[in-house]
Amino acid sequence: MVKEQKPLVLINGSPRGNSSNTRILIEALQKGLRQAQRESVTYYIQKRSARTELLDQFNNYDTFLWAFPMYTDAMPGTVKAFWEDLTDTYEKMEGKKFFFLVQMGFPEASQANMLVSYLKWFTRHVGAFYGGTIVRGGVEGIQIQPMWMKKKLLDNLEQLGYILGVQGQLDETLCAQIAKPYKLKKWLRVLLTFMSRIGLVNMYWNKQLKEHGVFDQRFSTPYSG
Amino acid sequence: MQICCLYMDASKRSSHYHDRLYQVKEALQSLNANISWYNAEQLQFTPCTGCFGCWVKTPGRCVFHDDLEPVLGNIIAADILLVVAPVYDGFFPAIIKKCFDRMIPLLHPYLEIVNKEVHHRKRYQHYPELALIIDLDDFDEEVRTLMNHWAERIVINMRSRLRTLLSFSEVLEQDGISQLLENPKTIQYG
Repeated sequence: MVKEQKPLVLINGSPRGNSSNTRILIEALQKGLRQAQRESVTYYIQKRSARTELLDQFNNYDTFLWAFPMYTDAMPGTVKAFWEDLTDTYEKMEGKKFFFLVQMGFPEASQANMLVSYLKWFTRHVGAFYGGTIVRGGVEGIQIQPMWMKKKLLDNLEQLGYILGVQGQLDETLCAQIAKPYKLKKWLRVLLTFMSRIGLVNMYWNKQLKEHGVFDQRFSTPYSG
Repeated sequence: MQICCLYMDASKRSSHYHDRLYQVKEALQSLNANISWYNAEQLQFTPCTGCFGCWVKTPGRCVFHDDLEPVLGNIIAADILLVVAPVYDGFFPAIIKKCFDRMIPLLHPYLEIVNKEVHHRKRYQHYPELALIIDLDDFDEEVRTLMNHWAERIVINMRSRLRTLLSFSEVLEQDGISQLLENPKTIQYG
């Protein structure tokens, strides 16, 4: 008798929920999973009801992909809170497989190295199998980017989702593509420094500061003195 | 010496934590320092929602006005931000991480290159150094290395330095508390 495959669980841990950049990345992966005819379910755990349901249903699944933005160099506190609920409820998680997707505004994937090390440790600590981490930098602003700017990323994620659906693992070559740039080359750092000095790097923030009428307050230090 | 101490009064995973914390607090009170104590679990606050309102709507201030607001002011005024907490699953408890997530109003959204990486610009001239006293004893060296690595990342954001990371045992049995007041070394950020 063929063992029935359980749905792959995609967890969006972004506090922004439906309006998150994480959602865009998850949906690209999900597109690939659908092409591979791999069933998946999604939980947006910024909602209490989703946390309660996932905690309750956790043992009915065996493969999980935890996706979230990097906050202050680690997982958001809200994701950590859910993991504590999980480890308080289920002592050991043998037979479960964890994948992760970490996205951030900083461009270089290397900024998530500590977090990736922790995710490996955490997975081993709970007794689950570590399937790998997709890291993507430069994601802040993706929602206002024209399609040509993000098409390659979304195509790669879709392909990654397809392979995940078919083979049950992350394709290392695609993960390395998605993670580029791992570090910034010297010429790019020089260019960014120059662009920062003339204000080009900060256009994304300046636009929003102006929209809210607080551009001239942008250097406020409300906690001084 | 002004210390802003964010701490947890109890651990849901160690019955010994509270008693040992009491001893750690006694050791801290013996220092020649002015310490502001904030029990993280008693602070009523909304976790960061990633709205970036503190950067683009009310520059430098979180859009949520709650118990964390005076803590942020105290952090900026302090010489040391000290965190005293247990370790859950190899990292700070969620409540402490939620406090750190809410510290982004202290930074500026603008980006610049620091130590060959992209980081946010400082909003303030002065930031405190970071010190951690954690109930690490049940965990291995790998966890200590991970938490040390995380703390070293955090201090880059503040262009500050990690003053020390001590376990409860090092404070209580090895007089490690004196490290807290050692003269700081200067770190140059390029």
